[in-house]
Order: sequence, then structure tokens, then C-alpha cells
Amino acid sequence: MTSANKRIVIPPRVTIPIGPQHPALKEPGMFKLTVEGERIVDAVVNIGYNHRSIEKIGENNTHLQNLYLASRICGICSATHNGNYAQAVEFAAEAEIPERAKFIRTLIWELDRIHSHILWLGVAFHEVGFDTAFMLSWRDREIVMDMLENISGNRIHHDMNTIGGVRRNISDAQKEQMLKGFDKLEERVAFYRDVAIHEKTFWNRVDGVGMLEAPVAKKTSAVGPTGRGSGLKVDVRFNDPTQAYIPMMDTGDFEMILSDRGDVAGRAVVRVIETIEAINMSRWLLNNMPDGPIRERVRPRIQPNEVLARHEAPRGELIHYLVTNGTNKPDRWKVRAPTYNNWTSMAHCLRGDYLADAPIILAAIDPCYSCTDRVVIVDGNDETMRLVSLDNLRIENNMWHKEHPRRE
Amino acid sequence: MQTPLDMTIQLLAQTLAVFVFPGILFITFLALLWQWVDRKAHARFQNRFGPLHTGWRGILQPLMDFLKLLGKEDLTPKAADRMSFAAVPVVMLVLSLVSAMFLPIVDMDPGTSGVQGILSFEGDLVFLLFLSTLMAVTIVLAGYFSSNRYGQTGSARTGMLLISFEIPLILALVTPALLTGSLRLSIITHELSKLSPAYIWLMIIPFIIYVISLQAELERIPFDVSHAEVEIVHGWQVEFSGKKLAMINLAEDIMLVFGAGMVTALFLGGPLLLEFIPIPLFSVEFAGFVATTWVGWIYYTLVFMFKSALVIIVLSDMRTVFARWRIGQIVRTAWKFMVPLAIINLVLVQIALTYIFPILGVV
Repeated sequence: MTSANKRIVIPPRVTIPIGPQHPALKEPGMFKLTVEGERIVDAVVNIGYNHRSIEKIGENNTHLQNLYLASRICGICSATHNGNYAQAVEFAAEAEIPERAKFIRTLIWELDRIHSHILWLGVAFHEVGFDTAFMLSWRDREIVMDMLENISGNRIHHDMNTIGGVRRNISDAQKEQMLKGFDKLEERVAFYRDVAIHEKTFWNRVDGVGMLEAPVAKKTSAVGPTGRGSGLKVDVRFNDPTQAYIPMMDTGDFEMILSDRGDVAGRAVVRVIETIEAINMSRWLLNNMPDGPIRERVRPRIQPNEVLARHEAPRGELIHYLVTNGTNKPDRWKVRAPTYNNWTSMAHCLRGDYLADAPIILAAIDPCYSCTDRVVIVDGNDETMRLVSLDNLRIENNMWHKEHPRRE
Repeated sequence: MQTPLDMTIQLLAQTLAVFVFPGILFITFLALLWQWVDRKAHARFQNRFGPLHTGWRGILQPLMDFLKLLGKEDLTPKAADRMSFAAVPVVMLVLSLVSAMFLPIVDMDPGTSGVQGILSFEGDLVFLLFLSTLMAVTIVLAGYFSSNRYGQTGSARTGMLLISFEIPLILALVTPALLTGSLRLSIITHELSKLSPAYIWLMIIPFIIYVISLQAELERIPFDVSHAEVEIVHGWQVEFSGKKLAMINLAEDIMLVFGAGMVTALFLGGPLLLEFIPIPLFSVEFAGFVATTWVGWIYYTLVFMFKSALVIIVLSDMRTVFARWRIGQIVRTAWKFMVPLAIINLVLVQIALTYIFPILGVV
């Protein structure tokens, strides 16, 4: 047989849907993977199954009510939304909150980061079939969950913040208890770091998988551990610190965790080491917490203003954009969750990898669908689907009503 | 010349053996028990409790799961090949039961030396390997019959697994056959128990290869690519539900019994334990006593169960300490490491048998 008429056997292309309901996904999302044999040749990412119109509800609520609504945006990083909204309202009111309140707010944020990262680590272990480490790491996550319950009274939705400060104080007994817990936690997290790096079956599954090169990461504006795993210096705690991060960064004891690997392993390493760093930060916050009041009264009517509050959530940069109009309700409230930024690089990461790696690549950005989802329009006739922003939806809506005038 | 009464009694006894002990009922009992041991050990290794509420420490949980699945709705996808789809669970169950009938649990034929299973004939080792390959082929077909994309991917992966680990599995079984010069399971067990302890050194590498390949054959972590739940949603099993899924689960548990039983029979000395103590009281008198009287029925069964349970715990420990491999990694490991190791082992066994053992004076 000559090379001219040599038959090239191509494995049949099959489109495998992952989602909207799939065991790899903890929340609904849709990924259409076109595979040739085991290799992914194309990936289409669709989100929008979890839209709850929280921003619209928020416009009818007072700022104080919105705090509790904001914490319900996401079950895992509830403290970040809650705290960032409080921060945004304080910026708008140009109110300064007491030092101790700043420290407690930051402490809750860091504890939230610890529990979120350990949760992610467990999920990552589960996605590659390493259920033992999943079970063990979630058991040890209970230490930090107990701490949060001890401080705030709730395991998940902490609701510690109020406009002008925090709701609960931290007693000396609680401080001692937490310092003891941190020692245990640090030992365990160091163990999981070693497991993740030295356990061959796990490392082989994440090494070189889901490559996101630094230029691509920059172009798709990756944030959080996804960006830092590709070597981008994106961390709001260091770049644009607020609250107690300002004195903390002035000490110079803490550094941004970076990895230039760019694969899932890089993101995993960044997250695990960041957890240890977050434990150290929490320890510093507890030891250097100033005395004083925990709350400053802020008038419920916020002056007309337009602010942008930034905060480094466990998944990356979280932005709350708030327009106030002089009443006790927001004029416009926009949440941009970190997952939204990291979506854009997803198709690039998936392409060229194996089908078996799809769950861990999807999980590697630590997606949070309920934080992210916006309006999706599904056309029942030709089964197309498209995502529409609020402004476009309003324009389209007006056009539709113009074209279809109400019959007199 | 047998009287009709004798024949009837013999027939009844054989029926009882096939259906009750050590036949279908006993094997099913063992399957559910081993599932409990596996789940409990796996859970304890992971610092969990495992089944807790049904029966003593949840010992009846596998039975309850089975019964509950029997009562669930039985769905057949529209695109599936109905007849073949319905046939797969039955075929799997029958294949696994037939395989398990060969296990030398109690002596069914006192006339022949060694402990015989219900089924036993010269060359049954080859037949057992054929059955286990047939089982894998049935799994491949099950995925394609369900005409589900996850199922087809799972089937393709099962096929890959089959071509990777079937060969080391077979090569590992060559060593015991080579040492005893027989292809009959009961004879191999019997002859191996009479060999000098020096032969244990030859059995270590095949034992390791066999246990690893067995884990792959049973599709458990780290080789559970064909029904990885987070990737392809239980692969070839995805469309099976209700009674069919119950039967498939039972068949898999019986394959676990069979696999652990094969390790016991071929590498761990079968249902013999006290006979290995080199004192005449045990090795001659006790062995003769249990081989000829009814005590053997209880003693052999308990020893067999004890050894199998140890194998199950080793298997569930393997399931605990590893992450799931990618199919490419599995095939690479199999062909770059397991197959060469198995072949080198065969060469080593030959060299030891021809050159080293005669020098050392091992009989």
C-alpha cells in the first residue's frame, strides 16, 4: 500500500454532554464536549441554569435586608458577598468603621477562605476518584466550620457584618480556642499539601492537565487561584487592600502565592499553600486585634453615590458595584463573581485534553454557578440558547412591545 | 447396580449442593457478606462508619439494597436493543455463578484427592479464564446495547482495560500450573499444599500481579475508569435500573467472591490451614480426619471464608489508597510494567526450577 491511498482511521466524533445534571457538577451548568475516542476536540460552555434575579430583588430591599440576601448568593463564600456588600454601602456613605470591626470582618473572610479551599481540595480529590482524601479532608474542614459556628452562630451563612461594623464580638476564650484550632488545622493542611504533591496517582492526574498559559490567562482575565496558578499577580488583598488587610500587608510578613505551572496541579498547589497562608493571616489578625467598639452607627439613608467595592474572595476578585440614590434602598446593585471571569478560559483549558480529565479541569477553577448566572433565553422552536445581559434584555423587551402594540 | 432409591437420594443431594450449599444460595450469601466486609473495611480506612443500621453493624445492608433495587422501576431506553439489553444482566449473573461453582470450598468428590468444587474437570483453569473474558465481553456489549453515549464510552474503556490486564492475569496463573503440572483447580491446590515451603518464593511475584490484575478485572479503584461516576456516570451501567441493576450488582459481588476465592485456592493454599503445621498430629491425623468426616464441611468452609475475607480486605485497602487512573495511564502501566514483569517472572520460575532448586536440593 502506498502512502497516497493509505487510509487514515478517524475515531467517530461523539458529543458528550456534561450537565445540566451530572455527578461531576455540584450545581447545574452545561458543557458540550466533542470527543474523538477519549480526546476532547471541542468544548462549548453554557451557563445560566441557576438564575435567581438577586440583583433585581435587591433593588426593592433596604441595604440592611440586602446584606442577608447577599450572603445567600453563594453557600460557600457567603461571608465574602455579605462583607463586600457592607463594605460597598460604607464606601457609599463615606463612613469609617471601628478598627476592631475591620479585624473581625477580615478574620471571617480568611476563615471563609480556609474552609472554601479545603472544600475545593476535597472536591478535587473526589473528581479524580481519590475518595479517601476527600473524606479525610472534609472531616478536618469541620475544625474551621466549628470555629465559624463558634464566632457567628452559623456554620454556613455567617451574616457577621452589618452596615458600620460587625454584629458579634470575639471573646478572649474564643480567641484561645481558635488559636488552638489553628495549630491542628495547620498540621492537617500541611499533610494534605504533601498528599497532593507526593501521592503519585493524584499528581499524575493533574500534572500537565488543563494548561492555561500566562498570556491566555491574562487575555481571558483569569482571577484568583486560576490566574495565580498561571503566574499572574492578581490578588486584591495585595494589590488593593481594604479593611484590616492594610495593616496586615504593611507588616510585610505575607506574600502572594504564585505558581508558574499553569496546569491544574499549579492551581491545586496555589490553593493548598494559600490555605496555610490564610491560617497564618488569621493568627496574625487574632493576635493583633485592637480593643474598642465593634460597630459604628450609620444612617439608613445613604447619600447618592456610585462605588465599586473589591475583595479577594476564595475564588478570585469579587466586585460589588453599587449606586445609591439617597434612600435606604440601592438604585442599582451589580455583583460580578470571580467564576464569571474564569469561565472564559474554560473552553481553552478543555480542548486537547482527555475526557477523563474534564471533571477535574471544570472543578479546577472552583466554579460557583449560583454566584454567576444571568438571564438565559431558550428558544423552544429551534432549541437555541443564548445569554443576555440585563441592558440588552431591556432594549429587546422595549422593541418587542413596540412591534406588538397592545390591542385597544 | 444402584437401586432407584439410591439414585433419587444422590440426585437430591446433588441438587441440594448446587442450589443450597455450597451452590447458589451459599455463594449469594458470601457475595452479600463480602460486599459488607468490603464496604465496612473501606469505610473504616476512610475514617467513616459504613453501613450501621440494618442488622448487626449494618450486616444486612447489602441484602436490603438488593431487595430495594428489585422493587424499583425497571426502565428500558427507547433506542436500546430490547432483547439483548434485558439479556445482559441474566447472562452476567449466570456467568458469575458458573465461575463461582468451580471454587474448592468443600470436598464434593471424596473419591478424588484434593478438595473439589461442585464443578471440576481437567483443564477447568482455562475454562475459568474463558468465562472471565466472556464476562468482560458481556460488559462491553452491555454498554453498546444501551446505546447511551456514556455507556459507549464506558464500554470502550472496558475493552481497553480487558486488553491491558487480561494478559498479566493469565500469565500470573501460569506459575501455579507450571509448578504442579496440572490445569485443574483442585489438583493445583492439592499439589501446591504438598510442595516444600521454598516454593513460596516463586509464588510472591505472581501473587502480586494476580491481585493487581484482579482489581482491574473487578473494575475497582484505581481501575474503575469504565464506570467512573464523575466522568461518565457509571459508564456501561448508566441505563440499567431496577431488577436489572440489582442482578448486575449481585453478579459483580459474585465475581468478587470468585476473584477472592481464586486467590485463596491458587496462592493461599485453598481451604487448608492447620494442615500446614509440620507436626504429624496436624499434617497427617487432623488432615485425614477432616478429609473423611463431616467436620471437613464446616472446617473447610470456615477456613476458606477466613482466607477470602483477608483477600477482600487487601482489595479494599487498594481501593482506599489510590486515586483513579486515566485509561491511557492504565494501558501504559499494563504494557510497560505488568506484562514484562509477568514474562520475566515466568523465565525466573523456569530458571529456578531447572537450575537453582536442584542445586539447593529442594524437592
